[in-house]
Amino acid sequence: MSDSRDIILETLKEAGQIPTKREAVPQDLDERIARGLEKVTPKTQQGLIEQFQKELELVSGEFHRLKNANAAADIVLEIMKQNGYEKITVTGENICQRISDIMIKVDESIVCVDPLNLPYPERKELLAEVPIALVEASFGITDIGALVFPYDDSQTSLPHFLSECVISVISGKNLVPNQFDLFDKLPPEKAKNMVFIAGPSRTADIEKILILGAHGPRRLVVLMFD
Amino acid sequence: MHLSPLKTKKYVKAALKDERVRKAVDKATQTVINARKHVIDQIGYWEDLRLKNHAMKRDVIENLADYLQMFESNCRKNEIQVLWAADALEARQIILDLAKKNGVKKIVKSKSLTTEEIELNPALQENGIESLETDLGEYIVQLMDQIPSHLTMPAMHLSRQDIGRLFQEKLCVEYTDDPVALMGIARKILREHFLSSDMGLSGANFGVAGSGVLCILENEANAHLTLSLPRLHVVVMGIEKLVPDLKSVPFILKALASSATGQKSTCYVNFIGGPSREKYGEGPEEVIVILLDNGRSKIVKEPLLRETLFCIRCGACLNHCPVYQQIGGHAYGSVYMGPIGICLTPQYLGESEGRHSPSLCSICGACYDVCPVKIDMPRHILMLRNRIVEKGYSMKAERIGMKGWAFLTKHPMLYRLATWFPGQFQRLLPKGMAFPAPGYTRDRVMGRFDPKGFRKRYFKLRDI
Repeated sequence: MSDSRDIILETLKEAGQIPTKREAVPQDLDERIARGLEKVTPKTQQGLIEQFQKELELVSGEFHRLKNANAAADIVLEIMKQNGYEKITVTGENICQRISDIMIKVDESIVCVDPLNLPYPERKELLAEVPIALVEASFGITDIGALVFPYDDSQTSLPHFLSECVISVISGKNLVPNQFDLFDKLPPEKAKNMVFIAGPSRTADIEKILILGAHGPRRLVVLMFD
Repeated sequence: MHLSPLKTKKYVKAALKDERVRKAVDKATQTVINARKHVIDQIGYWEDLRLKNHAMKRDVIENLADYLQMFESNCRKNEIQVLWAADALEARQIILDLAKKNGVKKIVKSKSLTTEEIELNPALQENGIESLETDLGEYIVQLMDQIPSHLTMPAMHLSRQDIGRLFQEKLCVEYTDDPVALMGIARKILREHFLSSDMGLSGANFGVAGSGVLCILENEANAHLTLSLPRLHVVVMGIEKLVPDLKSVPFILKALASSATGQKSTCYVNFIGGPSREKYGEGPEEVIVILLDNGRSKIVKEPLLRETLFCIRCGACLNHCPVYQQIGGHAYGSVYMGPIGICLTPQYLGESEGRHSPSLCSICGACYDVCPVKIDMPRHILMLRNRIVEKGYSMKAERIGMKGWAFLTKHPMLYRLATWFPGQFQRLLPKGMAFPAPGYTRDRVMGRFDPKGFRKRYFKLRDI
């Protein structure tokens, strides 16, 4: 252990013995906050979905509510065609795989890249070249329109940041009203490594003018299944 | 570019003459003020949130030794290495040693005020290590060889034309002042560096003591690329930047995004719980956090001033400060600017070097009203002013003037004469001309005194 560590901790321990005069914290503070949250939380599943859509669109995300994988494949193919994309990174279980299988059946020329099969540094080099990614979010936070990607679930985060366009699938059942509820729901171990994503990357560093697509994706599309 | 808080007077004079910078600062701060108000109006429990965050930070700061040990222990369980730096010199040396040990030639950096505080970039340069800022605003000010002019909007003092000319000169590209095109130029250049750098260096918005997790908020995605692409991720974090546990995190997130940029959430919130290369096949092989003291533990020992360590670096106080709006960030001569900056500078650097800083305040209280952790900055600024006077660091003219004033107030007849005199003397001045007050009337118009004098006027009005 370093000298600096000992000196710093010693100073802080001495400091801890000097009390501060403090105002009492209201005993019902947590309840008041909970009541405040409740007032702004939709009461129904439909309400949550609508709030999520509204907040996502406010941060320039795009939202589609779909019934099945075929509809999702259509949207993804359309985006790829509009932008001339030939390769797509596909991660996530089941639903993303089903969507990519349908896409390949429709258009055999599409190349689906599975990053989890690639070792590093090949993974980052290839993903840097693939313009579009299909990923699956574990949760959506409705009051801020954000998607939640614990790495234990997604096993990767590079496609979410290196692509120009990220298309994220999410189940409507996995919406939570706010971050407080998320941390109640999420096992602590999972919460240690994760990222929230609320819209495409952005900056306003030049004269406070909002620019989408700073260093990360320029576009975020959310496909919600009930 | 090295600024000194001792030269504040010179910087302020220059800033007041620079209409362009003042307009840029005004525009940027007004945009954020309006956005913040819009978001906070939708948070029905905002004042309770402030109380909660204040109480939480108080608990952390008053028990900082315990929380730091908890954080260190949990970081180690997550295979995050924890190193301690007593001061800026030690922090710089630790980073240089890590770079040497790992053969690091190129570093990408995401926005970090602590690395500005320890003046890291010049040290890296001197040792032949290329270090590139990746936040767009930080990248721009780095190219200009300046320090940031705001906590969260580093290049707010520059126009798009300034940036266009800068890129043309430094990056050898065709001139453009289109912001989208400028971002595109920076994106392309920095993407290459993200993919090829040996070390990613960042700060942290906070560390979660109960879990050994670091949290970094951002909008551009540069921080995530910084922490995930290079082999080594090094975090420099002030010792005060802890929260107790994961359940505390949403309270800080809600306050920070809304106060800093008027957003409900930043675009990205990164949670880093250790190296991930082995587990997930990507991400850093090593994560190292450097806990920086650099004067903070001394502040914790001050029961009346330790509240200044509650700061979560949102910048709301700057945006609402009428002084900052007039002079911008560089005039403070320090990495930490605005109301919180003038509290921290004399504490970090000492009352001698920071003696001018607390004067950059009109004690209007706007900063306290907007601070999401309820730091009573006006009270601290007054306390620091008192300290500076007590230690004899105030200006000589001010000391003489105050002694004169104290003498007069103890001698009522002399006091009456002194307040009567200006009204009589100004009869000798041309009609309409105000009493000369060198310095004070350089940038202000002072009215003429009532020849009756203050006392007669006061008693007359009192009796009405």
